[in-house]
Amino acid sequence: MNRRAQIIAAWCGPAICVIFSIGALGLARFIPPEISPTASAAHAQSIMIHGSGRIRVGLTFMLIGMSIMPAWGTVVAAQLRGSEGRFGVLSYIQIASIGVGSALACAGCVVWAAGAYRPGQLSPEFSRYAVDLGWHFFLWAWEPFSVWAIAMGMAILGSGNTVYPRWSAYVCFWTAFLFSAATGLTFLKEGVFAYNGLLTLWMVMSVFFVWIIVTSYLTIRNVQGGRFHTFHDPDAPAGPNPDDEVAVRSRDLPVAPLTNAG
Amino acid sequence: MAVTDILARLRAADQDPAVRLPGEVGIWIFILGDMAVFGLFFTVFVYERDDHPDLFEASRDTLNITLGTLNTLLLLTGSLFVVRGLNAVKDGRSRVARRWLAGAIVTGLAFAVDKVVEYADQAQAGHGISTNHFYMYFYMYTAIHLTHLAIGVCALIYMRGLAGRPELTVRHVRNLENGASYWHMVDLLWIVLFALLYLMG
Repeated sequence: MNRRAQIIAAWCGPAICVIFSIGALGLARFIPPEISPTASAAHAQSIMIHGSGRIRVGLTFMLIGMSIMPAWGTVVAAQLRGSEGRFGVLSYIQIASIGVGSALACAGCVVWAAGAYRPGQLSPEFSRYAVDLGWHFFLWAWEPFSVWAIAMGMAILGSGNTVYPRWSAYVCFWTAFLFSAATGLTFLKEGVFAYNGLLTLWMVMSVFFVWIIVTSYLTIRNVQGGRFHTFHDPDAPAGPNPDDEVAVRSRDLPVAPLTNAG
Repeated sequence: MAVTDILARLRAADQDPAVRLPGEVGIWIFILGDMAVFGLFFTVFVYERDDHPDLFEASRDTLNITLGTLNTLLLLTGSLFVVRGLNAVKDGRSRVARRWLAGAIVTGLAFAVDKVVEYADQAQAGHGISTNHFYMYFYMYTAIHLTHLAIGVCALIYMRGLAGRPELTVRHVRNLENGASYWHMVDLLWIVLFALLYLMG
């Protein structure tokens, strides 16, 4: 059971990439952003009105993608937990940061969805505000993701760890560093550091997905290599588990003669 | 274990002793990955500069080249100090090594002070991050570089602590080389930034 749970959680990594991409690129079209930071309020309102259906469907996909992130992050923390010893502070930091980070990313999707909720009834300025606010939640709040990646990297470099190769820690640090490019989002409305910019949006998202794929691959390899536990209760009575016994075999069932009701 | 024995062991661990990487493979993945991204930064800058040469030239003229040159000299000196520091560690002269590394830390901190002075000057002249695209690149690139430098100074402080230990393990020497390699990357990135932002005409 533990093996299966870990494998499922680890496969959530590639699943995040696929589900999120379907929602963001195909349906909601937030990537690349249809509404740029320099767009007029009327343009933002028009997109939110005419695309309100597909935008909300796309956001549902994006929300699902961001919501399974804790499952993925937790299996990595669980793999590293064993090597940390009794006070596994780095594992706890990872789990807490995953919670905060995914909650903020989900909040971005929720804000965008609320912006498309009453098509035609929101003022142009408010429609644009919803778009801006969503990007701030989604991309500007990169810090918890960096804390997460740094904690993961430090746990990998920890003295007792032989779970992940040491080079993967540096991939974590590289990822954590590059997230910082999203800082410019709140200061700029155009150029490569705006929320539709090459370095803020494309680079940060690409680095994030590369990190997810690399770590997922290593995690699946670990679990398949035997890094899981099988449940064993020393106090349990010997013999087969009663739950596993077959109560009634279908072929043993007596065949009832057909009778006419009444 | 003597440092020379450790180095011999590290060399023996590699297939070809002539090309032993300082530190470990992971730090080089990080350095090359980071430099690749900075390569993208530089490409984007040059590409946009070609579109607005007059604007970029006029903005570049407002930068204080003296402060920029001072920053370059500080980092180059810091890198030299780190090299001398590591050599002293390898020779077993821990007191000397700590002194060199302390010198490197001072150059790093001086760089940060210089940068803050420069930011304050620019802000006083009314040049903010959203004034035009040149200043956007100037502030963002130098701030990202400054973050690298701050982490590098923390690494140097850690390295200075390691250098003072009576005995060094394989892990310690590897971390010292990792830190030094990282510091040289910070230096190298600045040299390119300096050329692009301050000198490129």
